[in-house]
Amino acid sequence: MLRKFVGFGRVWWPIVSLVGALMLPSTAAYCMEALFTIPGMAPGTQNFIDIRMYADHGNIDYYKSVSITSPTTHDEVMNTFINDLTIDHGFTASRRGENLIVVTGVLGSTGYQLTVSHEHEIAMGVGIAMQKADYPSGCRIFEFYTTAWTGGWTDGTQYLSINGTTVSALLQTSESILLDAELLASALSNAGFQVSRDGILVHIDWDDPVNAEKIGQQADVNFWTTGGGDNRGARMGMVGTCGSGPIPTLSEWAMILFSVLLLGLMTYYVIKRRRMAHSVAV
Amino acid sequence: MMQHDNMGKERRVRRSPLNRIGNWLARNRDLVKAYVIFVVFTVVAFVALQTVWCTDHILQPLNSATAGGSAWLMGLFGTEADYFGSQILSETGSVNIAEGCNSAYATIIFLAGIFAFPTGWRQKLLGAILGTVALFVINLARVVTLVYLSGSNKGLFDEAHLYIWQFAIILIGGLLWLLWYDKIVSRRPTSKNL
Repeated sequence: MLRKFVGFGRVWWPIVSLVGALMLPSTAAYCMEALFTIPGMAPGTQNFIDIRMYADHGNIDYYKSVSITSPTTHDEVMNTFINDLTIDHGFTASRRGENLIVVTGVLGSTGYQLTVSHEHEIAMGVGIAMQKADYPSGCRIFEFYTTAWTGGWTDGTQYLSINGTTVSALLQTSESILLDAELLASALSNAGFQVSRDGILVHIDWDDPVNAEKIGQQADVNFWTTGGGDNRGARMGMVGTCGSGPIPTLSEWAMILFSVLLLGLMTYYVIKRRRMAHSVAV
Repeated sequence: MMQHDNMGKERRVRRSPLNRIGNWLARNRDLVKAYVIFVVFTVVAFVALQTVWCTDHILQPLNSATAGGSAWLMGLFGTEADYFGSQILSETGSVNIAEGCNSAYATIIFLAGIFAFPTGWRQKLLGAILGTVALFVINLARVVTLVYLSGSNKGLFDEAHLYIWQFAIILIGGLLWLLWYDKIVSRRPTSKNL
């Protein structure tokens, strides 16, 4: 009976394959998400600073993301995190220097390094906050890019500044986006970052020791237009090359399920054709 | 199997497991051959894609083509978008087409399903070409929707990325295979594999 039920050639065989292929990854994915839930990034505004914490020791051991209104001082933020770590989560945490919190004695290991990152919304054409994110693990490369404004170039003069200090030469909006990128790289370099540029892309690698020193600090890169029309001109954006997350077409499990589905379909039709051939022969 | 003893009575003869397996393999030779081709093709192609040559000459150009095609597609929807290497840069959102984000691996599995199926080479080639193009285009649609979502709704971006599009690719891949069988293979005038 069972053999009849599960025998090849049944009409429901491909249907079961399809339903299984659809149900299994969703079930598995939701289970995995339930097990390893990481809070998503709350959308920030100019009035909020999004603080992210990440203890990196190969695996995600602790992660926290909170939003604090901007008047909060840096010391208050750091102390809040230390209290959170020690009182609420049982870590042994101590502050080292301006921006670093070292967590020790967690799960029998020492030397957990906690990085604190600040983020806030990117306002195109007005100001760009340079991120200090260290999320997800190992993805510390950020790239700025410049694009031409849809409305075309306008008269006027643009400036680049970091933390309120104008560091770039005047930028005529009639110049190219490549020049914008060059000036941005120059501005970041003058602000003490190790920068490399590839065409319109400006790279900052946080694994570089010089840049790593700055983790926890926040730099605001301002980019604005004066004169001319409507604040139009070149715009800058930022890509977290890893922060955006790779978007695989199929994960490993999905590839396995896709293979199983195709093998199932193949099997069904091979056997169907065999039976048809047999019946014709008979 | 039944045999007759000295008294002329029928007696069931037990076959060894090896005999049974051998018989099963002989009965299902076409199916076993298809499985072997499927597995060998997939493994060889996956390994080949790890080589430097394939990365330089296949994967990177494919990433750029995916980024360029997606930016072009976004342009059709009125979104200013550009691409640089494998990066899609737009006012809506920006993503990087990393390894695995192109449709290469899904295409390999699909091609394995095509080449493993016992039918003529003409049908296989037609299915391979049409399937590869279809999966590339579908992947472009996937990337474009994800770019839009990355800039507007991070939560939905993760949902779409992790769940919805993976199901969709599996489902569409299966349907493409069925379509290929129905429209090309089953309408073959003569089939020597029947």
